[in-house]
Amino acid sequence: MKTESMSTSNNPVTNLDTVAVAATTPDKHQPWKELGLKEDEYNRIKEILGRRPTSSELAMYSVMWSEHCSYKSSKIYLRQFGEKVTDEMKKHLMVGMGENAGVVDIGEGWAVTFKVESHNHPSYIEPFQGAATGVGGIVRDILTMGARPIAVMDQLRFGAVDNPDTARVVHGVVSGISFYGNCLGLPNIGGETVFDKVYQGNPLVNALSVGALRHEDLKLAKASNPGDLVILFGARTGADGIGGVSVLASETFDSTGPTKRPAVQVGDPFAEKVLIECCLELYHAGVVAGIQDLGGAGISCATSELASNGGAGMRVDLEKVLKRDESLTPEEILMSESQERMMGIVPKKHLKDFVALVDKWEVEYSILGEVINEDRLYINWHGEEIVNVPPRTVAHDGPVYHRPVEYPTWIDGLNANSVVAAGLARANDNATEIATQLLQVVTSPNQADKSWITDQYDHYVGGNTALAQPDDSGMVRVSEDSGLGVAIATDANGRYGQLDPYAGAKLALAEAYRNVAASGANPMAVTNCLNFGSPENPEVMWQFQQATAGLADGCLELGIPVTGGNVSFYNQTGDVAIHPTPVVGVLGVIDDVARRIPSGWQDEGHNIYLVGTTRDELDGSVWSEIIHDHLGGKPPVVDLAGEKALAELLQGASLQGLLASAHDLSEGGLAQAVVESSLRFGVGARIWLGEIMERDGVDLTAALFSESTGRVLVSVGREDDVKFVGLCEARGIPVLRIGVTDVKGQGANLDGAVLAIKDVADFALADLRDGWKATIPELFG
Amino acid sequence: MTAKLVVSANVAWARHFAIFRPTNREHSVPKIIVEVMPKADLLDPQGKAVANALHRQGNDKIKNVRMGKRIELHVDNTPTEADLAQAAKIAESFLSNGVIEDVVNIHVEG
Amino acid sequence: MKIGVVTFPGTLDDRDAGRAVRLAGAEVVPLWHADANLHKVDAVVLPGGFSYGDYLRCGAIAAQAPVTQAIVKAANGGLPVLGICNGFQVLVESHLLPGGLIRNEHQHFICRDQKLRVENVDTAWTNQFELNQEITIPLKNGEGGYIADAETLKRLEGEGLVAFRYLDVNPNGSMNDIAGLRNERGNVVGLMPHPEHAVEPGFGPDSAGAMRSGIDGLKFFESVIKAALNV
Repeated sequence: MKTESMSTSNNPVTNLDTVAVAATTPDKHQPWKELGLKEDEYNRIKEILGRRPTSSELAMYSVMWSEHCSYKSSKIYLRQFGEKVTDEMKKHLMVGMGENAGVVDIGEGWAVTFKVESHNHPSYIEPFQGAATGVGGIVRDILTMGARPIAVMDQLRFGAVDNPDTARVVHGVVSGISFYGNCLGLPNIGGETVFDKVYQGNPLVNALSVGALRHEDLKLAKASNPGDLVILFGARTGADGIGGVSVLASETFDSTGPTKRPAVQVGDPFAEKVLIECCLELYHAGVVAGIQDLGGAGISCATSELASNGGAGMRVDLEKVLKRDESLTPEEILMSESQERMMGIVPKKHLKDFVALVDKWEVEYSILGEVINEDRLYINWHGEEIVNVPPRTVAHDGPVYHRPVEYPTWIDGLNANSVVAAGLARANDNATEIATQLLQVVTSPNQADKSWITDQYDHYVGGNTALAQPDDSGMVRVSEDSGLGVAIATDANGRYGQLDPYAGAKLALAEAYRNVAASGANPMAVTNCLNFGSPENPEVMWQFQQATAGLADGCLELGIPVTGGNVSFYNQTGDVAIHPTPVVGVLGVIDDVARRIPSGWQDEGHNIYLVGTTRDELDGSVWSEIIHDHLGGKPPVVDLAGEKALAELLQGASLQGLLASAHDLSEGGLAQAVVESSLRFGVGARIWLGEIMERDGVDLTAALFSESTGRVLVSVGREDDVKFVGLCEARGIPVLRIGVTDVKGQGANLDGAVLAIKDVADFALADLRDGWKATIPELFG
Repeated sequence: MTAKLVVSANVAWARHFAIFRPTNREHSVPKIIVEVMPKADLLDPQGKAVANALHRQGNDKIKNVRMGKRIELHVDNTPTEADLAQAAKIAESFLSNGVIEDVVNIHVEG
Repeated sequence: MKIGVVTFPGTLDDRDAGRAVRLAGAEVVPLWHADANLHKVDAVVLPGGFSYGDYLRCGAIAAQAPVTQAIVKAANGGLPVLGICNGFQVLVESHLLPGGLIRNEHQHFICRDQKLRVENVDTAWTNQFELNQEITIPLKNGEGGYIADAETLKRLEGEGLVAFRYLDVNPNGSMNDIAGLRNERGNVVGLMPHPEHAVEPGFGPDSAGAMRSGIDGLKFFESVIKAALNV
């Protein structure tokens, strides 16, 4: 629409701190400390520029060198994801880390891009907008790669269910995700919700998006051709979230609450939906040479990154930015985090076509400047130079910290205090008691049905959702011609992370990997969102060091690369950090989504098999939490070679059509898995555990509640029994028949359907369902 | 420059939380105000939800809550009778849905 | 047979409506909101979404669009028009159907597989159903509560203008459990649930047969093709 800003000299800023002024007033005091910079960083800026920075330059450096934008505390560890990689692993990787999102070739000329990101601190302060803009931000990252976003997922962690503040956050966050995601027309295909008091003052809101593109549509965020125009389009720039990035994400809250209040962004999903359609048409018309979305650090980030990535420079007239509020100063404009904005690099010859398309969608734009043949970023304000910097120093050559790392000695005591060492009572000989424990585990808030949340999300839009909650992964069809699709699962376990961050990260990877395989897809790529406490706490740094090593080692072992991710530090209130919570997302490819495997049985008279070995591994388990309020010991052992073999088995079995259902075992163990598999379609089952107990040498409690890895529950039609068992045996994977499926429940009360667990109890499916479905609505409905 | 930068952040906060320092421009703009309410006998779920929330907070004296919209039409000059008549027309035909809403007030401000 | 599918800024389910049209065997003609030309289509679908961000009232701004003006004119002349969800809201705002649609009673957006009873099979969009057939169609909205004054309700019920009724669960507090309406002529039908999400095996609601196998929505689109052939 309009090309001129309405601000032409309405409000010239007096006392403008220009480059010329800065050069002649070297000793002027500047609020680098208030903006979150350290003295040595401030000095480094002076060194880079050969003078003191202007206030605009100071604003830019302060946001771009903040923890959230520069990854200064995590960089040295994140390198592992790029280093611990083989050529084989990079085979399908079209774009790796460092870009807005990783891109994976999935075949047939299709590629997908996916990433998970955090928006934790804003979601504590303003849960609705924090969560909403979190969704908006990650979707824009996907859009920026040239892809049509096709799905979203979210990973939420809230405080204790009985704390009154938790409901405030839950309602706001769920509504915010619902509001923004639904309005964008993106199906929500899965995620997780966990309650734990460690997240009370620091809820975690991680949002994932996946997009699909043809290979030739790939876009990168770079400005390389001098003469190309720099165009800001989308929503107008306002006072949203100023300093949000440097201030919020780089500060912990003190124990009385957030100290830095204001920097929350407000989202408009309608504007973003229009932007998505407009951008996709721009891409297909070939009028955009490079594109960057504006998220954290807004224009500061977009300009410096586009220039730095492209190896060229930029000249920008900042007053041309279309503003919501005419009194915004240049510093504020540079720091603004107003949502739903994109910066495009448009070759002059394409300008007419660009304008025609943005006008069609009634998207506003303004030409801010152009790409130049110099390694410099110049920004003027009404003809006066206020920024003159080397773009690399802003965008990529930020500080790199080697934070002190200290082994937390308290962990020894924690690890020694295992379930066995603590002598936690087990009800092995008391069927009634064990049955009660099963119900307590399965209906506990983290294990209970989450429909109250997920029914607020659209999972139909697009018509390509093959699997969604409560199935093991979210699966979306990419090609309507062949059925080619992708499956994504995300997992994390803070309790395991607290016990052993290295193992915890590997366990999250293993679980997500197993979930993807259990749906019938072939795992191919990894994303992650690393949620930790303050990096200024050496013990937290130790946890981070361990977790990143665990994840990198794990990926190397499984042969799938990390394609991108996000780090969220400072999740702590006062001295108390959250449990290390690395969220790991695994993406897999399936040649035809019609082959997907449901997570529960639908037919009567099928055999139920438990694949894998069960050990006495109750440390950190849901059982230990719910029954004994205990956290101690070491998390379950990870065997990634075994997970790989299991995944290949599932692939092979699925390709031969042998599996009627498959459900992976994780939190809540076998008890949780059989209950969920029965309730999925309301079909009962008869289960016996004696053989498992004997073969693996575990007691009844362990058989039911152990969280040993590498296990999947499958149901197989009678005619495929022999083949399936043969397949397992040929691959040397332990398999044991532990039950048969029973009748389907009739009517609303699931009449006739029973889950009968020998030596434990016969559970009427309706009772199980009612209990499992009641927990969350009773707490939050 | 020091104070300005720090104050900028605070002003941003003030703006965001709508504790506005109204600019001169805001004060002097002539406006026609249109107020629209849901029809009295129809369900107002928003109003009901707000009332419930107020009751939960202990505001027993508030019997009921109904929520509508205040629409400001900013114009160039002081509105004439003709302008008001046109506003009434727009209010009836577009700014409100006569099936479920009533235009309860049209007046001039500023 | 050509069926137009309208796109407003903020429309979300146009591509799915297009798929439904194709699966039923007709050709899709995309109709842009700013273009008053209906390109000689035989029927029009107003799909779901959040046109214009639901600003002012759901469907209110879309009702003023050039394409909508053209559709109203054509509908008054007998053109079959199906309004789904936001499309239903546009029909109501355009006065092609009576009443109003307001925020769900329980204040939340809800996405669920909804059982409906087809109560009128004499329309361009429902002639392939059996009278009183029970179908399952996905529902997903936050502003789906149908309201009308007593007189209008009496007339709707009396003249058999209720096309679909919610069964088992009323998901949004709609009066008389009304899920969808028809006009007197039978060419205009509007409903809150989304038939276009129940047209392709593997991607619809769960059914007794198998996971995601429900395709009750396909008959809407098969009906209008049949209606066109019979004209």
